[in-house]
Amino acid sequence: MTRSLVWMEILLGLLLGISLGLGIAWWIAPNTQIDRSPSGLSALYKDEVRLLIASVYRMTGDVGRARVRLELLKDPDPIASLLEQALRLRLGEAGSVIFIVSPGSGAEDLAHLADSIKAVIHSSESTVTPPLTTGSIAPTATIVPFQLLAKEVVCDEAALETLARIQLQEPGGAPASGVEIMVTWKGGQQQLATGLKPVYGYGYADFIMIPGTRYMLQIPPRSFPITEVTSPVCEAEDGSEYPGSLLLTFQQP
Amino acid sequence: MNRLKRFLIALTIGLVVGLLYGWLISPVVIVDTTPEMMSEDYRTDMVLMTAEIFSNSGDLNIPLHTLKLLSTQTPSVTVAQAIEYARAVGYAETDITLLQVLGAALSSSPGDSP
Repeated sequence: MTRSLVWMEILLGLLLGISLGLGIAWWIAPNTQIDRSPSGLSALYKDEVRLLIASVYRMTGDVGRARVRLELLKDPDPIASLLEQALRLRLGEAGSVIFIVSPGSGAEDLAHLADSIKAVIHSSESTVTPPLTTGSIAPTATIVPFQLLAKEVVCDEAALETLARIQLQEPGGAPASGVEIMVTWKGGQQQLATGLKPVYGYGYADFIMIPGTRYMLQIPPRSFPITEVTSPVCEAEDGSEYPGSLLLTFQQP
Repeated sequence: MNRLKRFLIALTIGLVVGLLYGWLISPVVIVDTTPEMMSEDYRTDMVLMTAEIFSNSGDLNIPLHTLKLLSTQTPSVTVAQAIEYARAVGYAETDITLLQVLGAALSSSPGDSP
């Protein structure tokens, strides 16, 4: 009997034994453990917990506590989960057994909490050098939310892509460059920044819309999400329909 | 005979390894649970969240709906248990007070039923 055959037999015995052992341990007589943490909750109940956390945050303003509570859910990306749930609530694709009376307000709470967490993360990541002052009180930066100024439908049969074109303007109308924009849709998220295509202006950003998909735009840290961003339907000369683009203009008041 | 013996020894070692792995290292974990199945510390924190909401809004609807998800007992009993646990593990007095206020409101509420 050759040496390799001996090892083959041992290996076969080991593999069979391991398979048998795993079969017993996982299916026949499992040592079942229940995940008793919030991360073990079903998706439905995780949604409820997120709503509770966001609602408490709206009332108490304690973002630290809200973050700790959210972390217990062990979402891969807690902010994306908040925004995605807000979108589902707004689209009527999610509900709540706790917030029966006002599930819609829950969407705002979720988005508001996502904003606040992002702001906290952002502020902790950036190093702020305090301005030198000579006894006077340094001016306090106020976060002014962007507001939707205009929404125009752009129909161009020759266009290869259906775009959401976004222009951000400062209070005086000057382009607001370097501003992050969060785009969320069912099952996805994308972060944009204005000014990366200077040929269209320093306050410009865009993303490709898939016809039929509804998108939620949010300009952190303090703007409520804008829903109903979807590719419009345009009519061609021959009467056929095709997806169009959008031009959205936001301005800080 | 030697061959069979060798094979059986390998099989037994494999079996033990498989059992140890499946029972101790990577046991079957049940997920997709309900709030009622959460451990007491997490349930107490959820009760505290409802107490915070009640404290700020005065609305008992959200606490009632939440507490009924957490336990089959009456909401006031669930809150009483949460207070007991919160005291035992050293929650802040302000949090315990919030729980007490909610408990008092629930005990006089018509919605305080299982």
